[in-house]
Amino acid sequence: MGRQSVWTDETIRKLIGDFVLATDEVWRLQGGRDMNQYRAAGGSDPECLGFQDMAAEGHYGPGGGTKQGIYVCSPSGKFLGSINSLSPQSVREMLERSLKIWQNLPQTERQGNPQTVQPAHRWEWSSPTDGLILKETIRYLSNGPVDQQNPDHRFNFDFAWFNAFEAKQFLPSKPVVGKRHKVPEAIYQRLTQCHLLNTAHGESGTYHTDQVQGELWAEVVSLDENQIRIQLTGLNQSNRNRPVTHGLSPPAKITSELIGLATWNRKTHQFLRFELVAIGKIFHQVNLEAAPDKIIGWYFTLADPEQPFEQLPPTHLRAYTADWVEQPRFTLHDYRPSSKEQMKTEDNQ
Amino acid sequence: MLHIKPIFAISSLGLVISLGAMASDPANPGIPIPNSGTLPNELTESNFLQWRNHIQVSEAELSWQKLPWETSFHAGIAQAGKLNKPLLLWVMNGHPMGCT
Repeated sequence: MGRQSVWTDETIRKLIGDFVLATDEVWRLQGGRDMNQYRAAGGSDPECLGFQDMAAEGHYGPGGGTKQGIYVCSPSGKFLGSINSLSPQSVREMLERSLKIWQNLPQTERQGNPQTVQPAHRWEWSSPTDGLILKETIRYLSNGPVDQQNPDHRFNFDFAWFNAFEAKQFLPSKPVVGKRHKVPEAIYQRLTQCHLLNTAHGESGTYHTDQVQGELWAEVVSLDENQIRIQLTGLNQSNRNRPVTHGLSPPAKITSELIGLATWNRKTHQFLRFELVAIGKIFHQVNLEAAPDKIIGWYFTLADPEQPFEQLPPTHLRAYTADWVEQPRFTLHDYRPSSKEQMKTEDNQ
Repeated sequence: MLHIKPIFAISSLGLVISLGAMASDPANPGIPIPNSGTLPNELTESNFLQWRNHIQVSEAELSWQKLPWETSFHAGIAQAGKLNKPLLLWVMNGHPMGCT
């Protein structure tokens, strides 16, 4: 993986001690597909504008399109260098050049007011701290039956959020040992539409409500006055029953099974333990006779509240059907594909 | 200890699936889960932990996460100002510390 190849390089690790390190999601910062359209349409988030002004001097220039990469800038927002590369040597050379520029920069040009890049909205602000925050690990488990010589072990992360009311929906209202409880559709749909996705290699689009079918059940395994322990079991089949309209459309079909265990604290109304494993088969063609293209595994567990990056928002938080999620004033996700992209259909994926 | 009820039927899908029989996906009867030979061919209560451990990421795979990353541009700018250092900002479609 690229993020491993660069940041594990010893020479880079020595060099980055001279920098403050930060990461962020760029689609929002760059203003969607085109920062000029973003601004013309009223996009004015100071953090986004600050990034756009700085990145306009970088490797992708001032126009629209992606601004992915590695940037170096001063605290005042002055651009010092950038690159989008997986080559440790190229990144190291860019960092060295940027550091020289920084060292020659007058103190008056170094410092700025961080309030000028204070965001107007961040998805993190909707974090359900009194609810259930799960870390999701996604990993390919094989290449499928065709290519067993080069197994694909790529992995990725995401996060799944449920507010306090939703978290309690995993449990039956009147817990009795052995009693099975069907987890409400809204919870099942969030997991399947927004999380049981083909994301071990990178981002994927979500499924719509009418594209997922299945159930999630919870059975009370044991309980006492302090705790309720449940076992989760489920099945899902997701079908993309419409043409591909853009590159992030989900696979034609994913089938999956789920098994998990969770322990609920009856005093604090929080989960003490939550572990859910799902194993899925990914099909890029809707052909019931075909072998799966990939086998994939998802693992959900409680996020560590002490780890800042485990407080990141779910990638598809905007797609959650949840009134507790604070939406930005200016959404970047009403993008309509061009006619050329619309012509790309399921047949030529 | 997991304690699975054996049969789970979803008639609307035309599926009748035993949770202890992942290998018999009704859409692909007889097709086992292919793997490197170190994983079981099904997801059951008895091998739940084995699957979990295989999906989980090792410390070696996570070494890049151990660096002291701020998780937003504005937090990075603020910290860089405080320490009088340049900011190294790594941005991707999808957060680099999450799903990218």
